[in-house]
Amino acid sequence: MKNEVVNRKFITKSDIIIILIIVAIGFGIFLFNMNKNKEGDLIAVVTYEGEELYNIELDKVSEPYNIVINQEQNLVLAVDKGRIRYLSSNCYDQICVNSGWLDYYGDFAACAPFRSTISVEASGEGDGPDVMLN
Amino acid sequence: MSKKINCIISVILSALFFTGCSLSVGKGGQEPFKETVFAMDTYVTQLIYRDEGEVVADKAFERVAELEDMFSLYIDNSDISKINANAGKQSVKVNEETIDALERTLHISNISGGAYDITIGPIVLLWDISNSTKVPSNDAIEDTLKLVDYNDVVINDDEVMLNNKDQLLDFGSIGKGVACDEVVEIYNDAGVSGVASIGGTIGVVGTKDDGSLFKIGVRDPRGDANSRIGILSLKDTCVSTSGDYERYFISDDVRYHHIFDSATGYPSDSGLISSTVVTKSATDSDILSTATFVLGLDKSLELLKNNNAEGILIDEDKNVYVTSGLNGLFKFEGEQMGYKLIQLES
Repeated sequence: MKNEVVNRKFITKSDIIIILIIVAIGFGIFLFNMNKNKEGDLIAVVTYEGEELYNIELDKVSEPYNIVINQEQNLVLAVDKGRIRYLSSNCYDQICVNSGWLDYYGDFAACAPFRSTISVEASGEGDGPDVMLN
Repeated sequence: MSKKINCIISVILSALFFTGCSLSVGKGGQEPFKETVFAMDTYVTQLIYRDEGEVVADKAFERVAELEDMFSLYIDNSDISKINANAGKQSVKVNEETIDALERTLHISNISGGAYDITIGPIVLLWDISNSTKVPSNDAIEDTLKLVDYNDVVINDDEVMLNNKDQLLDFGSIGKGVACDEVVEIYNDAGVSGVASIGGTIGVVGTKDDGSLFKIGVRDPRGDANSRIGILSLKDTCVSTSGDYERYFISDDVRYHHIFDSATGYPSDSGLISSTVVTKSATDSDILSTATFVLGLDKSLELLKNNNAEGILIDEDKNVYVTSGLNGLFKFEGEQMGYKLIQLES
């Protein structure tokens, strides 16, 4: 009778340890890859209506400047060394403008009414050109 | 027991999911069709998205070959060869494409004060930079320079004539631009996106499958062919570069390159070592990259502005001037090689 109980036990202590080790390894690899990407320079990827418009290397910006994405919508970006933001927009909720400066890997802002996003990514391997201009 | 195994497998798959997510960031979309073939005395690379990429690339290349037959100096029956052979004698009937290209060229010659002159052929022949390392005599250069004048190109409907014997059209630098414009039109008609690179001229149509911009490497003018000072991210535009690194020889510590100043008959000495021009037409980007290279920085900025073009101009002190329309589209990488980025205001 005692043996039967043991056989029916769904999971043992050693199983739990193995599972925890597997999860820890998986999560560790996940974090490693995330951190690896963070080592590059900050890149602001700006999209509008589903297409990438700009790919700005923020650390290389020497002077602040503005980018007008759409004149009618008054959708304007401000770009500064190491940071970027929505400067203005005629959108009704102003969430994009209120997002303020984006200056760290993973930062993100969107203007949903005008279908525009800014995401701050990191440069890394595989970021080379499609063709060279010789 | 089987439940237990299922449970462990589920946990392993979950762990793999975590790692898989991080590894697949930024990937996606189908691989483009890519092909490089040779034409127009250079290489033609096409990179096309969509299933029918190969069919479109073939059609585009056929068109490039047709244009080569019209423009080549090395094909006896080409329009350009016929015009040159009949210089000072008679006008010759040519194709519509040749007339269009010549008219555009003459327009830019006019507004650039002759900085781009399509009749520079006799000077190119005299120097023969590709095969010679000798600097011609001053007298020879002065005599030959008398043959260089774009005002001597006479167009009457579908006929062209050069006014004086021994004058020569040099279509090398513009033929690639015209061909690139035609390839862009073929891509647009076929509804594909892609990049066509014909020598130093590139046409970009649309974006990649994932919506990202095409990335064009801008060469380090003092490095090797794969060394770059930055990357341009572009869509639906054309770009050309002229530089003193393409063909040259060095004599007595002086670099003699292949882009000539029609005012002096010598290789251009404007202070620029590379000029990259971005605009809607490849014909224009080709002409303007040469014209700006000859004009130098200050005059070039006005020329670019008047022609709705943007530019990356590099001077001999390794200053990289980028016009305001390229803000956010040019990723500068030249710091390590001693270049300095200067973003110009509009």
